[in-house]
Amino acid sequence: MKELPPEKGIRNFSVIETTLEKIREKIREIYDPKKVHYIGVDAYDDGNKMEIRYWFLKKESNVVLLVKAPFDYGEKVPSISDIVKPAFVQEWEIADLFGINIEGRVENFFLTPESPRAPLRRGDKLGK
Amino acid sequence: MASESKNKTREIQIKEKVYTTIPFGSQHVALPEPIKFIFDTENEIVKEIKFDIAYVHRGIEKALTTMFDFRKAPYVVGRVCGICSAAHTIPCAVVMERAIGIDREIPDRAKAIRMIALEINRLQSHFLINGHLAEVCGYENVFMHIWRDREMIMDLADMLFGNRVQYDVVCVGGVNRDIPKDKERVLLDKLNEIEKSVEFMEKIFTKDRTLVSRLKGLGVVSKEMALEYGIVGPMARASGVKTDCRVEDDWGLYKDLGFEMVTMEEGDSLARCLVRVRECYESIRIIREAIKSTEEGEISIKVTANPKYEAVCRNEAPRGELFYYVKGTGGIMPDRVRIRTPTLANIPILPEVMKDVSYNDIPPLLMSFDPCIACTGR
Amino acid sequence: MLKMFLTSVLNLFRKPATHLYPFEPYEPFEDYRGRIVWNEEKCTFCMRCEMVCPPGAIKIMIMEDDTKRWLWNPAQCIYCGECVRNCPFGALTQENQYSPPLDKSNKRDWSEIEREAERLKLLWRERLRKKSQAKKSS
Ligand code: SF4
Ligand code: SF4
Repeated sequence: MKELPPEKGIRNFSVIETTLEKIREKIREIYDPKKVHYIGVDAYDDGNKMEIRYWFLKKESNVVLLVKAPFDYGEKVPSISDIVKPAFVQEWEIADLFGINIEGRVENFFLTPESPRAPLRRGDKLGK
Repeated sequence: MASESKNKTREIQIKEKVYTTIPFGSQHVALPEPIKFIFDTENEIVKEIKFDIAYVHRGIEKALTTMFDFRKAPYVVGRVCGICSAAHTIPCAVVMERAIGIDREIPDRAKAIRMIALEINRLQSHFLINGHLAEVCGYENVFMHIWRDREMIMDLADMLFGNRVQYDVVCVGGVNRDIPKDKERVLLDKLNEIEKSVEFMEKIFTKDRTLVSRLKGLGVVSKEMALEYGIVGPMARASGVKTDCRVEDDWGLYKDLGFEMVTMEEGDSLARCLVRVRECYESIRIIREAIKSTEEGEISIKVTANPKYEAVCRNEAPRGELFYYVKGTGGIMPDRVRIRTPTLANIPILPEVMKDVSYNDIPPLLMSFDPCIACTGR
Repeated sequence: MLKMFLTSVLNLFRKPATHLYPFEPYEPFEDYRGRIVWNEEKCTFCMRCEMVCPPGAIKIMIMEDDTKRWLWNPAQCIYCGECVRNCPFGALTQENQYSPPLDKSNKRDWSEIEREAERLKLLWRERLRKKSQAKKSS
């Protein structure tokens, strides 16, 4: 894996910051199954705001790429599973773990109905 | 009991065709994993697949940020999955080192021992899944032979690291125990024996008529499809995709030891199985080289700082690419840990591959994908 | 066919691949990570082992009369050996024997012990604080 100089506390990947409206365009721009490997979906909650994160790997230069977009609690997040086909499983997982309202999510895909709701969420707790 | 099963096998009408619904899992003889598939079949041909993995979420990502400090993290993630224990502990330790900023200082001997642990882990996992594949094909005899030989590898791990399953040999900053000279000799001797049993396995999976005719042409994944669905590990390599995190990430010495990737073009169940068998040879070679190339010596460095950077690590687990992300804040616990297990990347393609396959071919097809739902649930 | 027959006849006389456990004793490997043994004489109750133990299988109880007890839960221990490596006084060793099975004689309510140890530690800190205050004022 290529080493990038640590900037802003980031060690070995590069970041593209974007907004929720533009994230689909941005990903359509960079994603090409032959050149870019899709790694996964992640979310992050710092207590005030949430962030949706998509991880990719550029195969030629061997650089891990992070596309992220901040959003507020309760905002509807667009799904990218029509652009990146395998994204749906991890989108549903993140939706369950953080209580994110992702388009086309299936409830209780990753957590049983009896388990606590949105265990990884920090601010703005859901009920129960 | 009878009425219950009648209820389960209910017939539903979709578009004037009669589909029979058959549940597969979460408890099933051919599937020792907590995943539930619901197949809508027409006669014996599977037409629609739904799946549910909501059984074993253990909240390990959360525990790593609220309960355990970063030094304990490798021991905790070793329990994500019993089969790939070393495969999890290594990237966790590496990603913590990267987040602290000491990953360049890890001694070579520590890296070599990590590689040995990972390759032994890979050997036993590949033996396990190939044996299991033979069993679900109805070939119990091969299953017993392969698992008997797997016992040799388990004993090897027991001798080297002190436990059969949980090696717990990797810690942040290096490894816990060295491999002394006399054990190295025993290890090299045993590797010859293991190589023989890999040869036996290869002979069975290439020559045996029953297995070959059962697995050949079953569940073909073309190269385009593999790329499109982003599948990882031996499953991708069986379709001719050149991807292996052992050469793509640089935590180990794989590049220096001349690692060779095993790929095949067919993309069917037999190819996935044979890629695993041939990887065993490569693993054995890597262990030998790793022992040869380094001497007994310094195995760990002192860790004094806390993780403060954001870092990622990709590691090749027996089942494919394993992705770790850590965001450190300078505190004793990281702010966020993300574990993307290999099966999570291989699940999306399953409904696509299982479509239009006869129901009795589902167990070997699924087993050739080597699912590990315990990892996926975390 | 002949080969197959030969193999099956020879297999009758082969040793089984498994251990005949109750009749043959099973010896763990020399470096097997087994039970933790505590040496009371060497221990200074520095609490380092309690701090580094990943699952929290070691608890140190500080009684109200300042005597201390070292407790280990074999059922919670993951036998990682972290406590042995971290003990600065070499009071802990790891044997290659399995830890004894839990029965009535050695079974304890560990969650009760954890709660008790926490409570006693709070009391102990309080005592320490009072002592240092008394020192300052005097
Ligand atoms: S680390 Fe050693 S000396 Fe300190 S309390 Fe534990 S056993 Fe005693
Ligand atoms: S061996 Fe590991 S789990 Fe067991 S008491 Fe020691 S530190 Fe704790």
